[in-house]
Amino acid sequence: MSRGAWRDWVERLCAGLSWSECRRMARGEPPSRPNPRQRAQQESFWLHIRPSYYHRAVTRFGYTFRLGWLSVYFFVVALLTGLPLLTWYVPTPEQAYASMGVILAGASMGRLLYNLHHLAAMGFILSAVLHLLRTLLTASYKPPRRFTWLTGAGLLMLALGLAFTGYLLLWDQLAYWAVTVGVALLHHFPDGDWLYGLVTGGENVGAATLLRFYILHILLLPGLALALLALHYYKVVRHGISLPPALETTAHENDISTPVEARRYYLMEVAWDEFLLLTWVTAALLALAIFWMQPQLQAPADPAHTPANIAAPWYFLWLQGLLKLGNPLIFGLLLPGACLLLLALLPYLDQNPHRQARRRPLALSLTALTVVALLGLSWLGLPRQHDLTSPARALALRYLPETESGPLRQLAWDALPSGNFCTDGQTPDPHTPFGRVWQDFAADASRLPAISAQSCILIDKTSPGVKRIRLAIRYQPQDASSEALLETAYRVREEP
Amino acid sequence: MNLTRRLLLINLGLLLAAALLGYALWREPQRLASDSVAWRARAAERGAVLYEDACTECHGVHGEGLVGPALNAPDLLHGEDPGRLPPRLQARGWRGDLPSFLMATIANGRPGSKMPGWAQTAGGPLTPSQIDDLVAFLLTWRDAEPTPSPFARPQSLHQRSAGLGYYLFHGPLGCADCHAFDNAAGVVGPELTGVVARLGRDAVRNAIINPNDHLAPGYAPRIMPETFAYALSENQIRSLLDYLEHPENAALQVAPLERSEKDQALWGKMVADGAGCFGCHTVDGTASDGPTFLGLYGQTRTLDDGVVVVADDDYLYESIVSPSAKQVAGYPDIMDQDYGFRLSEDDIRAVIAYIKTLR
Repeated sequence: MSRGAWRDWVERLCAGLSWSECRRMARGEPPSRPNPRQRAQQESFWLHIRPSYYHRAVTRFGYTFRLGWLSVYFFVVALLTGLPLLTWYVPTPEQAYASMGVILAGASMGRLLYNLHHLAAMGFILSAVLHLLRTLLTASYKPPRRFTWLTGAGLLMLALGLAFTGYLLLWDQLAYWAVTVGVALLHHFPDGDWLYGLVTGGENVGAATLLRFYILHILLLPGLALALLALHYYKVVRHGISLPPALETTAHENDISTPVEARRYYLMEVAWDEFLLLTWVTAALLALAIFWMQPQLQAPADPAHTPANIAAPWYFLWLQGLLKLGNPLIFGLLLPGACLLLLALLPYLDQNPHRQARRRPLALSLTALTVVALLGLSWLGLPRQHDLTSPARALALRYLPETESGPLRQLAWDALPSGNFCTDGQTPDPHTPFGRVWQDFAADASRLPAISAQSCILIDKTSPGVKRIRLAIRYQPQDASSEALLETAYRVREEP
Repeated sequence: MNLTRRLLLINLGLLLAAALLGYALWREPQRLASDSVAWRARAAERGAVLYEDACTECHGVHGEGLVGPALNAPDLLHGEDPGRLPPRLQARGWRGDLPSFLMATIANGRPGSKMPGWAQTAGGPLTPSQIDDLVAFLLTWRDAEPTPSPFARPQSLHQRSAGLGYYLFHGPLGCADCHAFDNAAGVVGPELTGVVARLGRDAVRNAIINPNDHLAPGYAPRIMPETFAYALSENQIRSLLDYLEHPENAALQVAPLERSEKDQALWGKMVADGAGCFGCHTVDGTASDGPTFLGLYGQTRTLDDGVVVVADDDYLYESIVSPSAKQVAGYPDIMDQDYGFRLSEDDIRAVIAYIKTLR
C-alpha cells in the first residue's frame, strides 16, 4: 500500500482526522490550527454523542468513580454476551433446563459467555445503585438535572426487572420458587388475580410465564432500557456533569459554561482515561468469569415440590426482609412502591436549592437512614431455616440443602468413606476433607436443643459408581415428642 | 498520570485481557469435558433419589428386578457387539438408542403391564427434566464395571428356570418317585446328585428323552418311560437340567411350604435386601437406624411406652407390617408403614424365618 493510500485509510477510520493529527492527539499535543478535532467531534456519529470537553473538576476519578460509565459498560457487555446465549436457549419448561445444560456444559465458550452475562448483570445493578447514591450525596439531581435523575431511576428499575426476568430463565428450583413467591405478591393488590394472570399467564408459574419473562428479558426491557439510556445520556451531555458542590453550590436554571482554562478535552485526554478503564475492567471481568464464578444450577424446576430453603437473589433481599415484617399488601407492595415512587420523584419534591452537604442536613440524614434500612432489611431477608423448620430439620438442611449442593455433596467422590459415622460411635479421621465436614456436623448436632440426640452420617456404595449419603438424626426435645428424620442424597462418580 | 505511564497501563490491561481470553480458549476442551461429565453426574444424583422413591418397589434397590424386570441387567444395558442395540431393545423392535428407549418407557409406561406412564403428559408425576435425571441414573449401571451386589439376583433367569425344573421334577412328571435327588429319596432309578457335573448336559438330556440308550450299571431297562421326549418342551428340559445342575437356585423359588427351613431363611434374606431392610437394620449387632437383627428373635424388647414384650413371630410380623404399633424405646419412628403391601404374606414369613436364624 502506498504511503498516500495508507494515510487515506487512517483518515477514513479516524473520523476525517489526518495521520499527523492523530499522532499529535495520541501524544497529548495541542491541536493544529484551525482545530480539526472539533469538526470530527461534530461530524462523526460516535464522537458527536460524546461531549467534546469536560470540566476539569468532574474528570477526577474520586468524584464520580465513573459509575455511570461503568453501568453503561456492564449493560453493553450483558447485551453482547446475551446475543449468542439466545442461540442456545429454548424458552419452554420441557427444554429450558436442558438448554441451560447445553450452555453451561455442552457449548464451546458457553459457560464463559454465561458467566460474563451474569457478572455484567450483577455489575449493572451494583454500579447503578452506587451511581444513584453518588448522585444523591452530591445533590446532582437538582435543577437543571431533575429529568436526568428520573430517567436514571427508571433505568435502575429496568435493571432490576431484567435481573428478575433473567433469573427465571434458568428454570431450576431456586429460580422457579423465588419467582413463584415473588409474583404471588401480586395477589394482594386489589384486582390482583387479574394482574397475576397477566404476568404468569395461568394459575401457576409455567410455560406461559416462562415465555412472557423471556420476551420481557430479551426484547421489551432491553429495548426500553436502550431508549431510556439514550434519553439519560442525552441529558447528561446536554447539561454536563454537575460540578462538585463546592464549585456549583446551588441549583440553577441556565447551564454554566466551562471556562477555556478548565476544559479537559475528550480527544485525546478523557478518551485515554476511558480506554484505560475499559481494558482493566474487562480484564477483571474476564478473570472473575474464568476463575472465580462457578454457577451451579440446582435441580430442575419442579412445580410439585416446594424446597425448604427458598432464597431471593441478593438484590431483592430487602424486599424479602420487608415481607417478614407483616401484611404483604402493605410491606410487600405499597411501602416499597411508595418508596420507589418517592425516590423517582425526589428532585421534584426536594425544593432545597443548596448542594453543599452542610446546607442539606435533612436530605443527607434521610439518605443515610435509607441505606441503613436497606442493609438492615436485606440482613433480615437472609434465609433462616429455623423460621420454618425444626432444629433437627434445619441441621439436616444445612448439610444436605435442597436448592444448593451444600458441604457434603461438594466433597469429591473419593473423599466420601463408606461407613456409619454417629455422634456416639465411629468417627472419621479429622484430617480428611470428610472428617472436617463431619466435625462441623457433630459440633452443630451437639448444639441441638435436646435431652438426647443421636446424629449420624451414613455412607454406602449402592453400585460401583454411586455412593449414598444419608443423614439420620434422632432427637428428643425437652417438652415435645421425639423426632427422627432421614435425608438421602447420592453422589455419582465423575468419569469421562 | 502522564501519557507514557497511561499508555503502558493500557497496554498491560490489553495484554492481560488477551491472555485471559487465550487461557479460556486453551482450556475450553478440557473444561467442556469435565463440565459435561459433572452435569450428567448431577443429573444421575437427582435421578438416584427419584429411583429410590418411585422405582425400587418393582425394580429392586439395585435394579435386580422384583415385580418388574431387572434394569441392572446386561441384556438391557449392553449390546452384544459394540454398535448393536442391547437384546431387549432388539426384541421390542426399538430403533432408537438406549437412552431414548429408557426415556420412552418411563414416560409412557408399558401398556399391558403394571408399569404406568410416569410423565406428566401420561398422567404421571414426573417432569421431562426428572425423566432425564432418571435415565442418567440408570445409565450409571451401564457405565460401571458390573460387580453384582452379594444379595442381588443377577441369575434370576436361571433361578426361575431351575424353579420350574423343581416343580417338574417333584410334581407332575413324578421323577422324584423313582430318583433320589435334593430331598427326594426314590430308589427305583439311579441317584442324580451331581449327575450333570459328571456326565454333562447333553448326556443327561439324552438320558431323559431316550432313557434306554445308555443304562446306568445295575438298573433294569424299560422301567423309565420313553414318553418324556413328547411330553416335555425343549424349555422344560432345559429347566430340568438347570435344576439338576444347580438345585440350590431352585430352592429359593419353590412354594414356601415346600422350602426347607434353610432355604426359607435364604429367601427371607433376599427379600429383606430387596425391600431395603439392611438400610436401617444390621445383621452383625452394630447400631444403625433400626435395631439390629442379630439375636433379635426371642429377645425381650422395651417399647417406648415402657411395656416389655417378647420378640416372637407375631411381634415380628406386626413390626413389619405396622412398625409404629410397637415402637422400641430409643429408636426413631421412621420405618415405612407400607411393607404389608409391598411384601407378600409368604415373603414376610420368610423374613421372619431369616431373622430367627440370626443368633
